[in-house]
Amino acid sequence: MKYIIRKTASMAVTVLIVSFLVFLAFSVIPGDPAVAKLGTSATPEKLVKLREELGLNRPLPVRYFEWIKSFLFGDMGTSYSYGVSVRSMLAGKLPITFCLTGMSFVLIIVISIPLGISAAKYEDTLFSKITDVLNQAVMAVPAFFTGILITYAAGLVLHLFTPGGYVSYRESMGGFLYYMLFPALAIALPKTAMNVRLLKSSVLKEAKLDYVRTAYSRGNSTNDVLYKHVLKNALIPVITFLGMTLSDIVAGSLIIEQVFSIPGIGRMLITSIGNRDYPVVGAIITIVAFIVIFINYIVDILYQVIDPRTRRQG
Amino acid sequence: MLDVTDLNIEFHDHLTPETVVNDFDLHMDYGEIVGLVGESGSGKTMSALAIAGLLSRKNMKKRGRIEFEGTDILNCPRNELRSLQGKDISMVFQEPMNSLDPLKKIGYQVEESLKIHTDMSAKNRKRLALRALSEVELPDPKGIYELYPHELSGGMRQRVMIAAAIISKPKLLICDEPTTALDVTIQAQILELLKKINKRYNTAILFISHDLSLVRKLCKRVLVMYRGNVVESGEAEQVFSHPEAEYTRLLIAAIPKFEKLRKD
Repeated sequence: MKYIIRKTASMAVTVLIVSFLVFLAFSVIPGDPAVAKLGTSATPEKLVKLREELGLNRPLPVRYFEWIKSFLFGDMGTSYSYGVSVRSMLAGKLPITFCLTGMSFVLIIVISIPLGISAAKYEDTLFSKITDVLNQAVMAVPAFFTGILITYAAGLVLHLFTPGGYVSYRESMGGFLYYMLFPALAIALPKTAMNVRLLKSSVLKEAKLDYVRTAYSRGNSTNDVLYKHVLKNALIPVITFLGMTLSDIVAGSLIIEQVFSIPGIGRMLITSIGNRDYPVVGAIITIVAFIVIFINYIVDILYQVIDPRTRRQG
Repeated sequence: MLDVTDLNIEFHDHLTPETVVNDFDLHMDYGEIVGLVGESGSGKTMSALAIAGLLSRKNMKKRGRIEFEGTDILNCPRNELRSLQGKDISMVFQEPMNSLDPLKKIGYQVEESLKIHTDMSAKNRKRLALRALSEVELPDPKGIYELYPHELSGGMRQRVMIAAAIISKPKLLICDEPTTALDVTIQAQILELLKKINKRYNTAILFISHDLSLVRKLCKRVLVMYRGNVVESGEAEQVFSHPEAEYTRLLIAAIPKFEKLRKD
């Protein structure tokens, strides 16, 4: 319990630091939101006036504290470019990106864990060799290219979906989820291949250890040894990998959104960076950073649950 | 009870087949303690694993017969073998540090064979597990029941291994270098413990060691192995006082003699 409180506190501090770095970065990189909004032909007077309006003339720490204070209360500021609240801009888009990430993560787990276990169990068989080869191939292709291949194969050749024909979840939940399945698969495939390989080698490594022989000596069947003893031990490195993967696919989905024309936060982030729309960029990056840190937090706690050796006293 | 005849084990994982056990014969009666001595690589562990039915089937050729109460361990179907493992034949391994599942509580591991072989209630299993833990002279069995392997010392883990091995009162207990990884005082305690178990339950023990002095303390009968062959066998006292094989003589000569050292 003490551990969880300490972890939570350190997570909060990390999020604060990241948010400050994000804020700092925008005041260091070249580019001026006032110029971006008014254009290069704007008169200096107009620029000064706009900067004042946006509060850009105040010192950095003041601006940061104002920003983070309102952020904590759910007010993420107003977009420089569009003049609407960042919150309303994100509200329609975050769920789409989250859904994409969530679906890919579920796909990774659902495909890779049974496949990894079987690949280890039927080592030295044709099945295992085929998965090895497929793994190598799939792993080598980055997600955005897998996305293009899927668009081509599933969309243009097999007509399983209409490329670019995004269906909003407001229109039809089923249609939305079906459309999202393809980009989710594009993100999931390379990670799935990596995880199959990791799990296979982890199971095989564990299977050679002494405690496995002990388990056999007590009369366990091969399946009992695998599912009651080996698997849990073999999953420890896999959890680390899945944690990193989850953070990774949050970022990866921003790119895949472009390939599949999904109106998630990916496209918005790219436009906002171009416009020097700090409140929008800051909000997105802070949210993504928070998610990544939160995932790590969950992984740490999962470790405690699964592996007694990592549990501390008290 | 146990009859091993002409056991041959050959490895085929290299280009040339390698014989690790050659024409191994062993007979054991109920309640007997037999020592199996030899240096590393002499084939003693392989023979023991074969008797326990734990040799994997890959890259290995096995010939001969291992008969345990009428069951041919070498050739019987897997599930018939499994019904003996952990119930009638139990094994204690060399490395107590690695022989327990790090993620399972001691309690679970001690009572696992009961779970596999009986339909005893959880409450009864726990009762027997606690009794086994106190029988191997572990302090505070109730506390240890809830601990994980990494929270125990090597000697304690080996006691846990023994508790797990004897919980279903096996007829044959195979101990493969059970004390090698432990320090000398713990070694002596483990030997005493094995003797007690043997007396109390009439459990036959096949004790494997490279340490002749330990075997002498514990066993009535002894087999000496060298490079896959049994070079000598007989009553322990006889073998120690009048060794016939050259190799046995060398082994005995290799035992450090503290008495002699003190006099010099």
